[in-house]
Amino acid sequence: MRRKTAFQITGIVSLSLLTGVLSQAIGTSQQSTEPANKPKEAIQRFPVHTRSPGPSPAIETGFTTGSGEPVTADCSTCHATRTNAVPVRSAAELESFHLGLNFEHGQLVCASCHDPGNNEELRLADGTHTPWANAMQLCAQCHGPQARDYENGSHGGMTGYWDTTLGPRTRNSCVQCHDPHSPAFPQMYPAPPPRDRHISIRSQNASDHNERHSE
Amino acid sequence: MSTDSKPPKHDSGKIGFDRRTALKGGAAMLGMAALAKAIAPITEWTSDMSVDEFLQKHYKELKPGELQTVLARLEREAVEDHGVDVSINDYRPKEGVKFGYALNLSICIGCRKCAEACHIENNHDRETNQSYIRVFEMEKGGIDFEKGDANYNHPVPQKDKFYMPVQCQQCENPPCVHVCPVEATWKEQDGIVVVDYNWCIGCRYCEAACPYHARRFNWKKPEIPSQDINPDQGYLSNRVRPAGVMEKCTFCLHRTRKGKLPACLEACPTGARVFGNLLDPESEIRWVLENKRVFVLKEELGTKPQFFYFFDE
Repeated sequence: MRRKTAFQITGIVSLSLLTGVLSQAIGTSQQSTEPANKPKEAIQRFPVHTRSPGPSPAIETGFTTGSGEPVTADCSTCHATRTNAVPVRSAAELESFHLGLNFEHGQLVCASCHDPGNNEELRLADGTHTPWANAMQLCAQCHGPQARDYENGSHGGMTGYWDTTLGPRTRNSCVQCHDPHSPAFPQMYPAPPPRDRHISIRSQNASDHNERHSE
Repeated sequence: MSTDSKPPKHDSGKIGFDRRTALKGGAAMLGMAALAKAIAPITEWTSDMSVDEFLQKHYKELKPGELQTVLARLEREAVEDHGVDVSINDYRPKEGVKFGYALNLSICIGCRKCAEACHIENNHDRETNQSYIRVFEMEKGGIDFEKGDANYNHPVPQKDKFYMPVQCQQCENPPCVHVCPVEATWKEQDGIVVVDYNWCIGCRYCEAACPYHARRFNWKKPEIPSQDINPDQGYLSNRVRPAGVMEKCTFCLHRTRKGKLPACLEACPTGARVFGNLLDPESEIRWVLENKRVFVLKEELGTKPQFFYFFDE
């Protein structure tokens, strides 16, 4: 329990750092995160691009166009005229819209992250509005250790160059891998196992081997 | 008197050969047969090995011009064998770079995407689904490979299991290098243990010496459909290997020596893998080593791996 508290404190401390650093790190070069007194400053570095968690999603209305394409609507299309039912803890409590949404995210409710006053934006724990593009900061409020690891390049998938002096790098944001409504990584079927030790293959290899020798 | 003694001598020569001549002839025949047998493989080489290939020097003894000739020959052979244009290059280690790799066991879900990416990137034999990475499904509570399973095929991750991908640990003290009788394998300046496939005699001593089962033997020439061959190849890494030689993970040196991330890292959907330069104090790998609970596999053997495992709190 004490350890958990420690992490929460770490999370809060890192949050205050992240507020500044994260917003800068997204879409800008790694240069910006390095101490200014380093001689490396002179080295030209390629950008480290983080995939944006935004823009705000459009939801399917259930209608389709004449050509069969789903009709989507911005959040505010409905939420401007409808009063938000707060606090809603799961999709099961709803009578219309967002039905069947799989929501498994701790003790959170809809309004923990979504801003009931402005549905085109997200809301941080302190009540501040924040754009969808800044969703990682929202996640970092509770997931401090993960945000810290992410900041230091040891959490989350990436592609490109390890050496950013030679080429750019692309990183996932939280939501490319974690569904914000059900963030646990899903179970999946693995890629097939090696077949090198299977007897059938081994015997086939042996026959190939013999053929080669008889040639 | 002297004329009397000569005719008998002449007669004995007329009879034919004496015992000594017969033995000489027999020995000569045996010698010829032995020579014929000894040079018989030369006639077989023509089918799958050129004279140039047979006379090729050790990688380290090749002068730059000679190396270019070898690379050009290998590219030509790739066209002949697979009907595909490939680019085989000699990627050299860079100054001030020493590669390190770390893997987060808390995050790895055992999806084998890394092994699959390795399979494709490194031009492995398709039939055997070969890869330099073997992912073990392990029982929680310890690291016991006796209870590990590398052939699992069910949805992952299982609740009571953890997953441990194992590949070449690029040891500082590599037993595989020490046992090679022909010095066909060695450790490079940036820490990568490489194999000169054209110098390897396929004795498999290194395979036996490696405590991580990181080396593989090519029982046959890898069979890959032409369109699936990765044309970006390194002489010491992912070019299509000949039959009868050893191969191993090279941290994708044809990528990493150009500054790119290894294929297995790019494929990892969870970000469990961290790769970088151990000599750069600002690198991600250094942050992991300095801030995480890190261990190496089979530390007691003194192999000093440059591949690290860690886990979260």
